[in-house]
Amino acid sequence: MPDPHPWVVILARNTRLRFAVECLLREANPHGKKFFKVTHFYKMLFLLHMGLKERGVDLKPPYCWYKRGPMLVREEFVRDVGVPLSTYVDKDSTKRITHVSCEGVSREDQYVIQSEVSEIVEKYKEGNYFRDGYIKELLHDAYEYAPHDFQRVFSRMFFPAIEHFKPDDKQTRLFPPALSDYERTNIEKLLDKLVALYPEDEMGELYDTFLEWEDTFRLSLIHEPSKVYGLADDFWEIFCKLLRIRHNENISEKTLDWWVRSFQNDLSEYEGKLERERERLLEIHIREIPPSEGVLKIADGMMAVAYDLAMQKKER
Amino acid sequence: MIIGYIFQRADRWSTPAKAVVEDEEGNHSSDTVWSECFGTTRDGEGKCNTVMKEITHEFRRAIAKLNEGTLPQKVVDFAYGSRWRTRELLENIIKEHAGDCKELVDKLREASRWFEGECKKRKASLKKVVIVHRRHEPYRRLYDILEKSVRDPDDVEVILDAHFVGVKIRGIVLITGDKNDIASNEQVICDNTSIAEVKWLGDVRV
Repeated sequence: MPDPHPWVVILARNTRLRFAVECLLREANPHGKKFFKVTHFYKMLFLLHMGLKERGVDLKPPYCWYKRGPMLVREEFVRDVGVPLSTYVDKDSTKRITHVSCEGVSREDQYVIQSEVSEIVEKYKEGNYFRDGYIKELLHDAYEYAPHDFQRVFSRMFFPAIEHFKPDDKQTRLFPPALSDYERTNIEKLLDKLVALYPEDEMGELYDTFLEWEDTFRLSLIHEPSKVYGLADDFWEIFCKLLRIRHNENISEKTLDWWVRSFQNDLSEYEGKLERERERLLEIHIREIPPSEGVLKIADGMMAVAYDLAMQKKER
Repeated sequence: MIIGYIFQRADRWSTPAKAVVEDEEGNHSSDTVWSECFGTTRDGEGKCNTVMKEITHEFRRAIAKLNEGTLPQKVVDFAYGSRWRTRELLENIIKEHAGDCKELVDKLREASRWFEGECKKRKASLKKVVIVHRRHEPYRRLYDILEKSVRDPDDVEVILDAHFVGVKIRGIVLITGDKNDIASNEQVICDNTSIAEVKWLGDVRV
């Protein structure tokens, strides 16, 4: 393999990772075509990392679990590898790599990494080309390693179930699709599943917010189905902001600290937005669906408990 | 009184509180009382919001447990074990419920929505009809006089808030649910402040 430029020796600390990245890109996308996007690259690199770990080679990639699965953290990557991620990716696509840096990587590691790269890339090909829709397989395989079943269901089942409410185009916004009974039942079953799977032990600080979101989502499903995708996406984002704090590898204290601090601000902002949306939907709900006597009796009981609780200090 | 208005229905003050808020006469409150009930974004959410959230959170958690397949009695046991505020209420609901689990979940869900929606609707109504005043006078001399009869310092501050409004608006009537500390000291309050009358909520005619 060709020798690297001399300055690479000084800057690169994680030479194995750099080698693996360049090998993967050279093998998966030798001509720098647009079919091998950033998301394909991240997932394949993650699977490469997990496969190599089993073979005793730790690439130590700086990644976290985020909205679309395992994600390389850009700022950490440049710290580790010595070159910015933009050397390899450009907006949404990956670049052509003709030169692989092997300085600082033992021959044995080079062999193991190269063979694992070949295996992984081949897995998603038919002949010389990647299979149609191979991103779905990549996501499925990556999510097999997801720390929580909740993520698998939310990302891989729930979002697809509400996909056609995604406000991608003017047509969808102008003529929002109707919700069939079958679809509604399916979505509600998935919501029940999400409630059962929520990782309360590890993500307890978001649990009540999650339950509030879940009921707000149900209200939106009844009264404004066109808004459900946005509601889901917003919740998923805040959930993943906590998830990345809990599940990451090779991330610096500085970055973790910033994630923790920014999460609090982001959570306040999100809860405010959810509350406003919920208030609006509740108003519609109460106006359009009058409560039964049984329901009113229970609500009455809740009012009594609320009054007693609020009055534990003196009345004005 | 604000609490009685927000959490109406079961409160014995609720109908008089409703009558006071919804009558034709102007309603005034102080920012101290208001923020105690509803909070400020800086200091917290206030009693009414906090209580409403606590109760709805418990109900949602009960619904979540039932949906997961936890038996209703086990949910009650959990509520007692965790000292939920709504434990007795949930126990009674579950005792009286004759239908299946799904029906129970639907009822709890609707009740929780109704409760929350009504509280928020009333808070919005209150905001439209109550003028909130911010007092910037300490009234030290008055404080010393009042604290000899009114035991709770927070109650003294509320009386001074009402006096502040009374200085601007003649004939102000202080309406309170506190019979022992405030209403019983009507003479002292009216003799020393601009407050024209002190009325106990229980005496308000509906």
